Amino acid sequence: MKFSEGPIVAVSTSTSSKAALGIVRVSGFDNLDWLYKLTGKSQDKTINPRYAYFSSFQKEGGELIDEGIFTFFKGPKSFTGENLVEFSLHGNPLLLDQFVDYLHESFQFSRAKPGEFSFRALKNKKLNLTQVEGLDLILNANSAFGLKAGGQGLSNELYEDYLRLRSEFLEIRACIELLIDFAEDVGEEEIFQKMDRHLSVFKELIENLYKRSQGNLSHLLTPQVSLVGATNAGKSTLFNKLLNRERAIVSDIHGTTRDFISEYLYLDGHNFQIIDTAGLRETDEKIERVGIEQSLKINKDSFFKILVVNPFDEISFDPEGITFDAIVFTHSDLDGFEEAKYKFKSGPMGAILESGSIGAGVGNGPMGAIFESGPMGAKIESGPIGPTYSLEDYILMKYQELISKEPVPIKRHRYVISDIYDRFYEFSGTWYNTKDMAVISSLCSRVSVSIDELMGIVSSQEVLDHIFENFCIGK
Amino acid sequence: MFHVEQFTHGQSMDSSLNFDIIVLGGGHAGVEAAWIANQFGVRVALITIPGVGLASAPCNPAIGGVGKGQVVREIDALGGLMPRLADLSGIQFRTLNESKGYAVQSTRVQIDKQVYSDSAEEIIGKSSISVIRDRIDSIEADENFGFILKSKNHNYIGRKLVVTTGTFLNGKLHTGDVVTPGGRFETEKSAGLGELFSGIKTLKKRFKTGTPPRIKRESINFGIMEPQPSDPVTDNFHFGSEEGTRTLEQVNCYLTRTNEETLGLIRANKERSPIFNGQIQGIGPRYCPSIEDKAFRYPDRHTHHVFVEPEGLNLDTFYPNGISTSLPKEVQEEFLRTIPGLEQAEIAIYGYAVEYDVVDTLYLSNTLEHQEVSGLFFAGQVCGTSGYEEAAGQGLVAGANAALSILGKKPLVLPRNKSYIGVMVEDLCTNERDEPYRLFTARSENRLFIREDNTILRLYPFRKALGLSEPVDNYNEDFIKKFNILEKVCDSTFYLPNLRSEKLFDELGLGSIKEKISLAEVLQRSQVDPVVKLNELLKRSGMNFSNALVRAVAISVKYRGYIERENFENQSLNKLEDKCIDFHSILENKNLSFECKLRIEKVKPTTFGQLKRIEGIRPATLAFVAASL
Repeated sequence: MKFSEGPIVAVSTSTSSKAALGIVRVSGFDNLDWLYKLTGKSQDKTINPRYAYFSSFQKEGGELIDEGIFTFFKGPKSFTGENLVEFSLHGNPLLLDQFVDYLHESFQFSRAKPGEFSFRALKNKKLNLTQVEGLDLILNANSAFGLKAGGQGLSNELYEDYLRLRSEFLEIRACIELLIDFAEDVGEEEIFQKMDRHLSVFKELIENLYKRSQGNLSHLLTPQVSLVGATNAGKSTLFNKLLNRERAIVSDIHGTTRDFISEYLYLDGHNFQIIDTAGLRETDEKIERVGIEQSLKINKDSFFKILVVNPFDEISFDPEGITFDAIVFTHSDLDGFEEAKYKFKSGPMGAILESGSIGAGVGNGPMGAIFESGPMGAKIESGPIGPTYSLEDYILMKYQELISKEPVPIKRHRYVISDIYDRFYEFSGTWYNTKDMAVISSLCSRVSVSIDELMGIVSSQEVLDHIFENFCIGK
Repeated sequence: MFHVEQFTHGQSMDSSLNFDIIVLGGGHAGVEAAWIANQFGVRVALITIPGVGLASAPCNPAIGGVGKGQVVREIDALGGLMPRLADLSGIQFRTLNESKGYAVQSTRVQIDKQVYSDSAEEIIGKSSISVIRDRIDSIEADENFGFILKSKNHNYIGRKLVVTTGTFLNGKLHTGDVVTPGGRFETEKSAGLGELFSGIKTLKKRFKTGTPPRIKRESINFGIMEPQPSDPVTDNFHFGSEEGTRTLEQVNCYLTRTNEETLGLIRANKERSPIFNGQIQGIGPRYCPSIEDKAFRYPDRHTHHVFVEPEGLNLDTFYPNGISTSLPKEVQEEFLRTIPGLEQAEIAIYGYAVEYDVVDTLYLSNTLEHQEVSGLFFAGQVCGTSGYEEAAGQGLVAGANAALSILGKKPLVLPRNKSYIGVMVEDLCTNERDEPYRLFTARSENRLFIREDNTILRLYPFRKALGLSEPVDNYNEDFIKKFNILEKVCDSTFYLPNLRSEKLFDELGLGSIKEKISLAEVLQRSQVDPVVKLNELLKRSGMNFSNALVRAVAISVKYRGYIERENFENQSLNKLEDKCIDFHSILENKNLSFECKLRIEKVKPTTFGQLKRIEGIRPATLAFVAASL
C-alpha cells in the first residue's frame, strides 16, 4: 500500500446518507494561497490558526459551490501534525463530492485513501500505533465497549500497561546480563534473588494481560443475541416483542422464517445485534436446510443465546450441539401450560436444560433463566432464586461481566500478547531447569522481540496495511 | 577544516625515515596494528615514547575475561600477536562462567607484566618493523606524502598513519590534590590531539579511568586470604602453544573483601576525593567503578570483593583488583590496612586516576579510518574504549586496513553477527560514547554463535581474504578441514537400540536408548556434557583430535538447533534491522523529542538496526520510524 506525499483531501463524515453538516479536510499543504483563492479573501487579511471563519467557497470563475465554516490548524498542532484545514459544509453527499473534486482538480490535492489521515498522524508522531488502533476501534465500534476501549487506546491507557510490561522485562534481562558479564563483581546470590522478584512481578503483569486478551473479540465489539428453536416456537414473535415493532413476519405456518433477520437493539447504551433464525426441524427441502444450518452456526457464534420453546410442541430437531444462555417457554397463556412445561422438562429435551450454559453469571442455577412468554406480551418469570430480572437484564448482566475484565480490544495485540505469554513461559521454565545461560538468554531475547512488537516496534507492512485498510470512514 | 601544511622540499629528509605506515603509540593497539600491517610486506614504523616497553600493561595484570577472551581468540584467528604474548607470560589460566554453559564461557590469563612486555619487544624486534623511540611534537597531513610527524630532531613520513596514543592526549593524573600532566605513572606527557591536529574532533567530555595502589609482596599476609589456583584444563589462547602446557610457573591469586571500616574511612574523606570534590570532570566507566564510586553510589553495600593478583613472578608488586582510587596517599594507606590480609600493607605505587581526551569515533568509518582525513586511522583507548583486548582488536583492524588501502585491496570489515571485534567497531562508529567502552557479551545479539570455541570457524574467511600465507593460515585451513570431518562423524554415526549400545550408554551416562539415534543427537541431550562425552567416545574408537577441535565440534553440535531457530527468527527481525532509513527526514519531524533528535543527528544512522542501538532512543520514536518504513 502506498500513501501519497503532498496535500490530501477527503470527506471526513459519512457520505452514505444526507445530513445537516458534512466535513471535508485538507492536510499537508505548504501555504494558504489556495484557500485565499477558494474563499475569495484578500491576501492581506490574515487567516489565524484555530479561528472559525464563515465564508463562501467558489470556483475560479466565481461560481459558488457552498457556504460554510472553515478552520485552519497550523502544523504541528493539528490532528495529522501538518497544516490542515477543516471545512464544515452542507451535508449533501453530492455536494461534498463536488467540493472534493474541485479541490482535487484545481489544486492537485490527492484524494486521501482510507486511513491516510491517521497514517500521517502516526508518521508525524501525533499518535502512536496503539492510539491509531484505538482510533480504528472508535470509528468502527458497534458497541459502547468498543467505543470505550478505543478511547482507552487513544488516551494511552493500554500503552502505559505495555510500557510497564516492557520496563519490567528490562530488569529481567539486566539480571541475565549481570550473571553472564558481572558475576564476579555483584555476586550470584544477589542476582538470583533479584531475578526471582522480577520474574514474579512480570508473571503477574503478563498473566493479567493474557487473561484480558482471551475470549471472543466479536462478542465484545458486535455482541450478537440469537433466537433459536423449533419451527413455529414463537421466535419471531419474541423478536418483534424485543424490538418493540413488527419487524419479522409472524404466522402459524411452520417454517415462515427461512432466512435469518437481524436488527440492532439498544440496551442501556450498548448496541446488540439481535438475530431471529430459521426454525429448526427435520426437513428435506434444500433451501430450508441451508437456513437451518445457518441457524446452528449463528447459535454457535452468538454472545447470548436464547432457546425458544413451545412446550406444547413435539420437538422434531436434534438438540445435539445447541447451547443457550436462556430458555423462553412460549404460550404461557394457554390452558395446561404448566403441565406441558413440566412434561417438556422431564421429556427427551429435558436433558439440554441441565447442560445449557444458562444464566448470566449472577449466581443462578442451571435452571435459573427460564422465561415464559405468551402471545400477548412477554410475561416473564425469573428463576427460583433472586430478584426478578427481565430477559434484557440478563443480556446486559452477561455483557457487563464480560467487559468488567477490561479485555484487550485489538486483534493484533491479542496475538502478540499470547505470543509473549508463550515465550515467557518457555523462557522462565528453562530458567528454572537449566544453567545454560546462553540458551536462557536466547529465549529471553525472543520475549523481548515480542514485547517490542506489542509496542509497535515492527515494520511488518502487513500490520499497518491491516490497520489502515480496515478504516471505513477514518479519513 | 583540516589543517594542511605544505611540505617544503628544501628540508633535508633522511630516506630511512620514510614509511608506508607509521603507527604512533607502542601499547596494545599499536603493537597489534604494526604486527598485522607488517605481514603485508609494507614498510612499517612503530613510534613510541622512550622509557616504556612495548605492550606494557599499566593497569590490571590480566588478558581475557568475559567477552574479552573471545576477542583474544579472534585476534589469534586473524593472525595477531596478543594471544601469543599472553600464553608466553601466563601465570594463571581460568575459565570464567564455567557453570553457566559452554556458550558464555571465557578465558582469562593472569600475566607476568615484565615477561609480557619483554616478549613483545623480542618478537617485534626480530620482525622487520622499525621501532622508533621518539617524542612527536606535531603532525601534518600532506597531499603528496601522507603524514609528516615531527620530533625535535627528525621528520618521519608515512603514507598512512595509525594513531594509538592511549590515554596520552592531554593526559592528567590525579592522586588526592596532586595533579600531574601525563598519560600514566612516571611517563612524559603528550600533547593534545588539538595541538597535533587542528582538524580532528575530540569528544567534548573527557574520559577518566583509574588504577589501584600496588602493594609490596612481603607486606601481604596471604595466609588469611582465599587462594584461587590456576586451572590446568583451560586452553591456551594461541594456536601455536602446545595444548595442556604452560610456559611459566603457575601461581595463585587471592580473594579478600572490603568491610564497613574500609568504606567508612573512604566516606569520611569525600571532600578529599578528586572524583567527588569536582577536581576530576572526566567520565569514568560505570562497569569498573573506583572504590570511591562504590562507597558513595551504593551506600547500602558494606563489602566488596578484592582480588589480590601478582603482577609477575619476579616483580615485587601485587595488584588489588576492585579498589582503584585517586584518594590522597595517606587515605589510600589507611583504608588499605582495614582489609584482611593487607593490615601491614606497604604501597609501592599509589593509585591514581587519569583524565584524557578521546577522539569522536562517529567520524570514523568501519575500517577505523577517519572520514574527513583519508589515510588516518585510530585505534585503542584514544577511541574511548578501555581494556587491552579492545585496544588490540581495534589495532588489528586499523593496521590491516591501513595496509590493505596501500595495496588497493578490499578492506577488512568484520560483521557484528560474526565477531565481537565487529560488534565493537560498529558500536564505536555508530554510537556516541557516553563513557569508556568495554565489550560485554551483552553487546552482541548472537551470543549463542559468537563463542570462543568456534572462533576459527567464524573468522577464517576474513583472514583468508587478506591473502597472506603465515603459519596461522595453514593452521586455520587444517582446523576447518578437520572440523568438517568430525562434524560429519557426529551426524553419520548411529547407535542402534541393542545390548552393546545400552552398555555403552550406561557406562558413559548418555541416558537410555530406545531407537536409532545419531551421535549428534546424543550430544544434544540436556544431561550430556557434549565436550566431555565426545572426547570419551572418540578415545574409545581410537580417533585422535585436538581438544580445541573436539570442543568446537561438540559445542557447535550442541547449540545447532538453538542457533538455527534464532537465525530463522532473526530473519524477519533482520529485515527490519537492515532497512535503510533517511535520518534527515526523521529529523525534520517536529514532534520528535529534542533529545532523540540530538542523538540521531550525531550518529546519522543509515539502517533501522543502527537507530535501534542508539542509546536513549525511546520506543515511541522507534515505533514511529518503523511505521514509516
